[in-house]
Amino acid sequence: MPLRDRVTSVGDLRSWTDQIPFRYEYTAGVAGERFLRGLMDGRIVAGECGGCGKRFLPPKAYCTDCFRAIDRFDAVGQDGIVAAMAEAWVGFQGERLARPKRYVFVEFDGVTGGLVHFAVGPGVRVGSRVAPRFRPLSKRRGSLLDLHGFAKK
Amino acid sequence: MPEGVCIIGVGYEGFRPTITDVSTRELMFLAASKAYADASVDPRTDIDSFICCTEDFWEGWSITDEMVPDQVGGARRPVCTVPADGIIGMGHAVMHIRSGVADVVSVEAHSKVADVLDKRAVENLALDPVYHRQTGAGSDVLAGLEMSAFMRRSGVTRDDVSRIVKAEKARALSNGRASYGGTLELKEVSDAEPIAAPLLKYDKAEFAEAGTVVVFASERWAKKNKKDGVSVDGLAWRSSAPWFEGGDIMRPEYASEAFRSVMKQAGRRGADSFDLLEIDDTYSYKLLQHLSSVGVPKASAIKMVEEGRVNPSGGSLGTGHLIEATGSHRVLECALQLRGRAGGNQRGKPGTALALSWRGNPTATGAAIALSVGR
Repeated sequence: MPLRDRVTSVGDLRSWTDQIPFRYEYTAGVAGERFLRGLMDGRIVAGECGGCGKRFLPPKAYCTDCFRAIDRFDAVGQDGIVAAMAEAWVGFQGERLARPKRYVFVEFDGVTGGLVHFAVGPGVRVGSRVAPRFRPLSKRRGSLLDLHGFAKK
Repeated sequence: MPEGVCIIGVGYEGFRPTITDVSTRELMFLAASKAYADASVDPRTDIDSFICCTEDFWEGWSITDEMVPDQVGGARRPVCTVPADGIIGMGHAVMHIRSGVADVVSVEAHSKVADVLDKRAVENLALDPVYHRQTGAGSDVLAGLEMSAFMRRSGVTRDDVSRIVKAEKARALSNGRASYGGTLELKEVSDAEPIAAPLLKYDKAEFAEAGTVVVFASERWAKKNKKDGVSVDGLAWRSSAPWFEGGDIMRPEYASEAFRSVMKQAGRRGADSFDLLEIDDTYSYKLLQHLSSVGVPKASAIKMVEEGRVNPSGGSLGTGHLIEATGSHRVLECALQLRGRAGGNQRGKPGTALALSWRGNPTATGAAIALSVGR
């Protein structure tokens, strides 16, 4: 028997509660800067590989296939297609929500990948053609939340 | 021909939602002691290399690898930590043996996840902080999104995934290592409360705790020391882009490519050549997606699950999700089946088995291993 003395009474159980109090400030990076500054300008920016021509969203500073550096960043079109949709009834911290949050995964023509964000307004379904809805210019801060989400066109 | 590798011993402890009477390190010690007894080896003299599969955030302890050696018998010996799923750790064991670094290797993986009071926080920290995390779309939302797209493209229905849940929960009732077995009606599964619709309550595996240790040896060593082993016919792992970065939603590359490599190593033609399969089912639809990745169409997949050829253990939906020990659990179940020692869920006398793991959202990392006896 590997352990001879085992705890056999619940009253004898002991534990210690502690936490890991770390904080971070994440560097957006070369591609991230382009993307976030693009959102401030009301554009969704993808990266394009100069070798194979593949366009990535979110943008990367390197090509997944060629392993070349990417230095071309351009806006995708204003139209996206909802490729997936989910209605979240459980929040980010695990809490049950009284009203669901609607998330969509939006793809753009000729672009590999896409964006996970909120569905805005009625009528958004899988297969819907949607357009981004940005916050007012004065309220944009260079974050993913400069975008409200995507609304049906 | 590369050096043959086999499993000469397995040990486990726990397999329940919470383990309150032993610490993480004691849990590892108990599982290791059983595995070494099963293999009839002394870790202080017979084992050349020790591998532990663990991730600091799940442990709540920085540089956890420094705290590993004692409890697996590896003090003052070569010990390394692989922060990944257990089957990937086993891949390192195979490499240690084939490279001549070691003849006998111990691979430990565990889940003491009930100790983690903020499981969501750990999962949320896995999301990209710039492109993703701020919307609050956590792991289950990603699963709900993927499920919606997979069902649309594959033709899989709500009824199909509910049948998977029902079958796995029922199968788990006969597995002594399963914490979440039960008799569910299809309507009960399909009408359950939503997490991220279409993902519902029973579509997601609940957490469980366990310690697992698997002892590997070169076939040359096993033969010399008269040990019967379970042969490792192939092992591979792959990491690819998550589906939302352009990965394939129907056949995730981590699964299809790892499987293809294993088939080549094992000299096998397809999933149908295995007597049983233990396939990742962290979420119900993932089981069908992963089976699709290894070439099993929907209709056959559901039949194989209901007949118990796939996930005779009850899978993660029935047993519980064991974080980094999830793949190790699948290998453990395969090894026990192949040795005829699986217990109430023993499925005849299988000669071959395949285990396939996925590291969970938002990863696109998976591993596969082919095993056999009586070659």
